[in-house]
Amino acid sequence: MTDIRYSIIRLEVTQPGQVVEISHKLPSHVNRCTGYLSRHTQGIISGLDLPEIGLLALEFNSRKQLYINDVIEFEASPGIIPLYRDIDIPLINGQLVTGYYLDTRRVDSKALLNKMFAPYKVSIYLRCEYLKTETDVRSTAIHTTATQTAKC
Amino acid sequence: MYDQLLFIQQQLKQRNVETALQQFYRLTLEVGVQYYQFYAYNQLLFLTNPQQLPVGTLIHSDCRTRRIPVDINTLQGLEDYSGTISIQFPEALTEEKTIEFIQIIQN
Repeated sequence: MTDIRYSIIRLEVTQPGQVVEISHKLPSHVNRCTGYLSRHTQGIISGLDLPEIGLLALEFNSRKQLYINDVIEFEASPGIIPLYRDIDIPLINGQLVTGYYLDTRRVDSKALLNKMFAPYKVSIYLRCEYLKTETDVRSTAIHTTATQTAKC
Repeated sequence: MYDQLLFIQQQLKQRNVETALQQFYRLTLEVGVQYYQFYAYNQLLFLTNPQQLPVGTLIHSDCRTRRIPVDINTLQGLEDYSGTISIQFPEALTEEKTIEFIQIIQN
């Protein structure tokens, strides 16, 4: 029986062209990542969709495998809640998710970009699974019984 | 150089990278260049002379991106780049620059 855990990695971009390094430790009991989603969550105000605001790369298992290279876009009026993209990444216990986010917003003049720039946030959502063992179930059952006994 | 080689060996061991060949790789960029792109697939290029690059230079690859800060030393700047690598200088070069890497060809 598998159980799902979601991990959110939040990135804050405060300067134009900034490189944000990612180093995130997943819970050590998860053993597979099955879904991935990344999007702008806060900060940019624009009436137009921007096809590219940044580039994202994610490596799993402490830099052992590069699995995700993605372009982050900005939607002026996000309609449908986006679905997780399916991935299938086996995880080694307790290792890091690393990578970078690079702000690539382009404006003709550098001075104009500095004037217009407002800090913004990008979130990365990871859907990971872990296999529930019999021990997990048994310990939960013992806990319930103990609680009941205490109540009596 | 010994520290750099030791660091690279440890990194490769920790990341289970099997090396087919390790060698030096030099890239010379001429006066006037502001942007340069090249490819390094199935290999890792460890930058060994970041302190000689202009502050604000952006080195961008599939797996790693680095903007050269003011106070960088060689060991801190020893990052590996792989895939499509681009180097963007803040201004066009006014003198010839040689960028040195240690190239690791993977099995």
